[in-house]
Amino acid sequence: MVDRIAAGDDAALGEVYDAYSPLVFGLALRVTRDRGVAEDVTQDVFVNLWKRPDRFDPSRGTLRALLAAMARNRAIDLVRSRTASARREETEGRLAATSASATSPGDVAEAAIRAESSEAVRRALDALPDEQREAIGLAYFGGHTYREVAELLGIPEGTAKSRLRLGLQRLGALLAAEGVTA
Amino acid sequence: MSSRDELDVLLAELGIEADSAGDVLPALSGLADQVRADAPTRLRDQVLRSADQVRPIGAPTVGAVPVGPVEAFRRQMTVLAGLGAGLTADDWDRPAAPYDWTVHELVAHLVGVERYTGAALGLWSFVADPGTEGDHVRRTDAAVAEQRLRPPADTLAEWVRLATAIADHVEAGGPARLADELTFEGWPFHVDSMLVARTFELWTHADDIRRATGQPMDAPPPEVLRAMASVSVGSLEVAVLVVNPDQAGRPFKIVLTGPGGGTWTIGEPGAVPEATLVADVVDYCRVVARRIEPDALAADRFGDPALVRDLLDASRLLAA
Repeated sequence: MVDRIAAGDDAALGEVYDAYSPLVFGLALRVTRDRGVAEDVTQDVFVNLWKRPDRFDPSRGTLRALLAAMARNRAIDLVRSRTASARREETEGRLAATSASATSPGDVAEAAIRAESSEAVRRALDALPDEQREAIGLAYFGGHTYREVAELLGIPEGTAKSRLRLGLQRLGALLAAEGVTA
Repeated sequence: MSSRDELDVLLAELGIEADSAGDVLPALSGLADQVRADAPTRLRDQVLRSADQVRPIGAPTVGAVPVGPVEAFRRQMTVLAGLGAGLTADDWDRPAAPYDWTVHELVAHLVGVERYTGAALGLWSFVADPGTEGDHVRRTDAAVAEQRLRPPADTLAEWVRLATAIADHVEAGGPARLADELTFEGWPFHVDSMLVARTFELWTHADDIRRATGQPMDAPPPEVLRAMASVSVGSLEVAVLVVNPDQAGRPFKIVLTGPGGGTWTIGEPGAVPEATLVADVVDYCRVVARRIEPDALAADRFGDPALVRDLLDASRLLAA
C-alpha cells in the first residue's frame, strides 16, 4: 500500500486514511484534548505519509505503529508549543490570574481519564494503586513516554517503567475479569 | 486486538521497549479500544486535497520529472556503448537469446535498425530487401551479414555513429521536430514517442547482452524509466483499441511502483476505473519490451480481468 502511495496513487492514501484515521485522530484527541488540534494532527500525519512514504520501513515496524508514533509525536509537539506559548503570554501579564501552571500533570491525566474512559476502564483504573494509576495516566492519557513520566513525577526511569508495567499487568487482569479484553 | 501489530502501536505510544512489554498486551489492548475516535467526514477530502498540494496526485516520490526523449535515448545509447566497450572477444561470440544471433550480430542488428530509423526521419535513404520491409528483425538481415565480417569494435563504433547522428538530428530540430509525425514499423508515431520506443529497445538489448555474458540485469535510472513508462501508458488508450475495439472508452488506471513509476488514470475526468493494474515499473517496462509475458507479470489486478489483459497486450505494441 505504501508503494502505491509513493507512486502517487491517491486511492491508496484514501484506503490508508480509512483504515487508520480513527486511531490517529483518537490518539491525537487523547493527547491534545482538542478536536480542532486533533484534526490538524490527523491531517499532518497523512499528508506527511504522502510526502515522505519512504519513512515507512517494514523491517522496523508496522504502518500502524508508524502512524501512531507520528500522531503522538505531532500531538505532543503541538501541546508543548501551545504550553510554551501560554507561558510566554503569562510572563507578559496577558493571562488571567488563574494560570494553567496551577494544574499538575497528574491532575490533567486524571481529568482525561475521567472525561474519556469508558466505565469498565475507569473502574479498572480506580482499582489500581495510586502510584500506578498516576504513571499510566501520564503515559497513556497524557501522551508522555516513561522517561517523561519519571521526570514529571521526580522518580528514577526504572521506577517509572516498573510502575507502568506493573500497572498495565494489573489493569489487563482487571479488564479481562470485566470481559473487556479477549 | 491481541495482535503483535496492536502491541507495536501501543509501544510506540508509550515509548516502552518491545522486550519489556510482552506481558502487558491485555491491558494495552483494553486501552486501545478507548483511543479510537472518528474524525469529521470532511477531513478525508481535506487530507486528499492537501496531499495533492505537497505532491501532485500521480507523481512518484522518486524520478517525478522525466528526461526528454532525446536525452532518454542518448542515456541508453551511452549505457549500451559502454557495455559493448567492456566485452571480451569471447563475449562477442556468445549467443544472445532470444535471437539466433551472437552478441556481435545483435549489435549489427542495431546498425540495421538505426539505418531504418534515420531513413524514417529523412536523415538518409534506406531500402529494405524485398519482402523484409515490415519485419523488424529480417529487415536488418543485410546489416547483420555485412557487419559479421567486421571486427565487433567496428560494428559497435558504426552503431554509435548512426545513433548519435539520429539523436543530434532530432535535437537540432527542437520541439517542432519532436512533434513531427512519421510512420515507424508500420505504426503512426510522433518523433518523441518513437525515440522513447527506441529507448525501450536499447535498454532491452543491453539486458540481452548482459544476460548472454553473465552480467546482472540493469534498469534505467528513475528519470528515464519515468519517460518510458509515461509514453507507454499514454499510448494504451489507443493501443487497446487495436487489441480489442470493444474496450473503447472504458476508464482504467495504471499504478507503477518504484522509482520512476507513477499513477495514471485514463478516461473521462472523475470516471471510476473499470480496471486497475498495480505493478513494479521495471517489471511493467519489461512487459512492454516483451521480456516478461503478461501472465507472468507479478501485479495486483483489480476490476475487469479481461480489460487488464487487453491493456497488457496493448502495452506490448509500443516496442513491437
